[in-house]
Amino acid sequence: MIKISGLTKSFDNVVAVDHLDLEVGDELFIFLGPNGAGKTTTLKMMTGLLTPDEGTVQLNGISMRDEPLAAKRQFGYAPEQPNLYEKLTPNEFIQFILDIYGAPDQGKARARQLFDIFELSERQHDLIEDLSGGMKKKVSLIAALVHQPKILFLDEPTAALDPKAARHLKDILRGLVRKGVTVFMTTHILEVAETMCDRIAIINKGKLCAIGALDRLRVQYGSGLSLEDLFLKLTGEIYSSKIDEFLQDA
Amino acid sequence: MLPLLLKNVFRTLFANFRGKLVKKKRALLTLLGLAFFPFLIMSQTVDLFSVWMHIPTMGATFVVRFVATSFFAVLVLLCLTSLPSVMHHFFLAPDLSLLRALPINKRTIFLAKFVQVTLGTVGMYVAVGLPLLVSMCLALGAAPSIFAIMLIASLLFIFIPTGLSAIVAFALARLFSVVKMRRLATLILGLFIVVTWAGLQLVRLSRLNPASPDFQPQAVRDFAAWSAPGPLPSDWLVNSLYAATLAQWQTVGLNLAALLLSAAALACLAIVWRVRLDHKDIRMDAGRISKTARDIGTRSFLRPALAMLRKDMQVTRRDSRLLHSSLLLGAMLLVSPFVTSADVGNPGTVGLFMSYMPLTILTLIASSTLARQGLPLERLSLQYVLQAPVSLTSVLMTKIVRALLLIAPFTIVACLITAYKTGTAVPGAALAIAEHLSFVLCGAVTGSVVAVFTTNYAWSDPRYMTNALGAYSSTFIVLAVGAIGMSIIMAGELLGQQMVAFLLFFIYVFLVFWIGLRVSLARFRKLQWT
Repeated sequence: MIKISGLTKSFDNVVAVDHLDLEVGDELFIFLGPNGAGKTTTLKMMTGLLTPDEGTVQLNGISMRDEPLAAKRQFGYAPEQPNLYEKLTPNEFIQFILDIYGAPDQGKARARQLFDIFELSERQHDLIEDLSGGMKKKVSLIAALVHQPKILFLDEPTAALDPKAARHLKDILRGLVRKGVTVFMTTHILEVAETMCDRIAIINKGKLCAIGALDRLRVQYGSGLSLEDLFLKLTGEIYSSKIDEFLQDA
Repeated sequence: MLPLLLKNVFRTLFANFRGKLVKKKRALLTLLGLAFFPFLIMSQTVDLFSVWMHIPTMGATFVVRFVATSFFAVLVLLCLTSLPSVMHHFFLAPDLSLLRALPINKRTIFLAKFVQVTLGTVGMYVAVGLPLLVSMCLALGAAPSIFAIMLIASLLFIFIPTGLSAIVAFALARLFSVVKMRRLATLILGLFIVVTWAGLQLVRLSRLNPASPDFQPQAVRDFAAWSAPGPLPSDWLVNSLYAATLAQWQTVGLNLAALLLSAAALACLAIVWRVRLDHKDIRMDAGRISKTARDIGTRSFLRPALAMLRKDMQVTRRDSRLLHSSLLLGAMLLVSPFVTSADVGNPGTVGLFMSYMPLTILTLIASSTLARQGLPLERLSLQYVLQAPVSLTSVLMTKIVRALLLIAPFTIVACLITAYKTGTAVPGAALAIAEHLSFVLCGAVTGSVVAVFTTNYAWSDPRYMTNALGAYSSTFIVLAVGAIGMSIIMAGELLGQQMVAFLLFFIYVFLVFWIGLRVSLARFRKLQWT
């Protein structure tokens, strides 16, 4: 359960997130928005990496401001750019994550399962710096999943993943939601959002434009609209004339 | 196409001087720091060479022999510097696949790479090699035109180490994984620098200086009789300049021709071989860490801190830059008793205290330097620690303990060596060790404070997370903190109240630790992880 109210953050007088209110239950919630809309800033405030200028974040009823350590125990986070410790192996990194979350014994078996699912067992003793971008992404996803969090924050989780791994991840997330885990994720791949989400929220210029189940939003903004059409309708124009101009010169 | 590629190479080289002002300032400060080296070397060698010129029957020959021998070391250093660079630029550079996809001849691509690697060694050559040549030319009273020959000869010379390294690298690439070899080459380079530095501290040039009371004529004769296995490019370079000062133009021409032919032959061989290797199976597989991470096996409240510490030690061991700086600082500590204690080890309590002082100063600087690396070594991965359920106090304590663990063993050994050399009794030696470990703690805490205040949390460019102010100010700050501690001990010695002084000293260390930790935490909490 995630509850954020009045969440606001500015950088150099530019409001990145503007009085955002959200409540997310045990569901797969997708947070959409164009580049620079404030998605990652929101995620960073929810995970304690940024202090909000205003507003509060509560994770399973625990306030991030008042009890940060207890709140941080609730979630796993996979950032958009994995940025892992390049000089560790995936095995060492996951062991490190398990140790700092205090779940080493239960976690080892889960780590083995996840390494198998994401086909990393063969590479778990290589240095992370020698892995491909997709493999690094898989390691960061394993790190988010391995300590059995009750909430998952995933920033573009399917970016850089091969189709098989993306499918495995989707299946895992659906299964976890059925078991009562809250999944809060951002994505630019609207097909993923369309097929997976229970509810979506669309943010633009730091403000919430729309929130609800996809079917309800379609009813609200125009039946027959695809998520892409809906997204574009709410967040900005398409430069059709400029594209035509470019194609004429091509 | 070659000029276009070289233009890009130069753009990359000077990339740090473009863009943001902070980046430019940093690059300029680094350049100023490097510019210090040539002046340091020249200040040491110009006078020494002038004195050597007056050694009967062998003055100029002796200077030339010395410079040629030193240049052999420069040649080895440049070869070792080029080796990892060759492996990177010729096999692993991210732009290689793009360049290969462009309509450019492969020989042109690899020639540009050859130049790129060579340009990378120019800084080292200018810092270490060129000042020796300038000093030699000044001592030999060379005409200004000789300096032009020096530049031409240097230009030819610097391609040779790149060529030699390329040949060795390509031979190794046929046998082993390039990735593994690059790591090994970087480690060997670091160890060479550490060992050379330690060796140079023990070399006493005063034995070769007729103006010094330590002068030993036999040492001069031994050195003059020794000859490096030649003929070597370093000899050709030095001989061409010496011959030029004597107006022996035929010898100059021969030596320059030898340099030119060697450089050209090595460059051609390297480029042709690299093009041929494109059709061979080159292994790029990375090294595997055979051990599975072991369980820390401790009570839960300590487990996160120990996990962070283990991670930091693993990163330090595997990151060549961090490993080299740790080893270099360790070597400095181990060598310091041999270099300094003989001169100040007077009998008497204060004299004994003074004999430990150089070690104390080095201990403070070393521990603060290592503690200052603690936060930047996290780079962008710090987000995993910050969003985990661990307190910021644990994070900072881990950094301090890391510095303690890395420096304490060297400090203890250096204290024992100093105690042995000064004849300190066992209780005195034990006390000296306790004091120095306390100074390590002071240094580590001070380094952490400086790191929190002066680290650039510039996520876009994590390579330069410690700003220049941090690097320069930390030495002064830690010495000021250490000076108060040393004053307390010194006052105790002078007043004959050692025990009171030691008690006050340990209270002072505790205060430094406590205040340092609080100040760091206050600042750490305010930082924004954008």
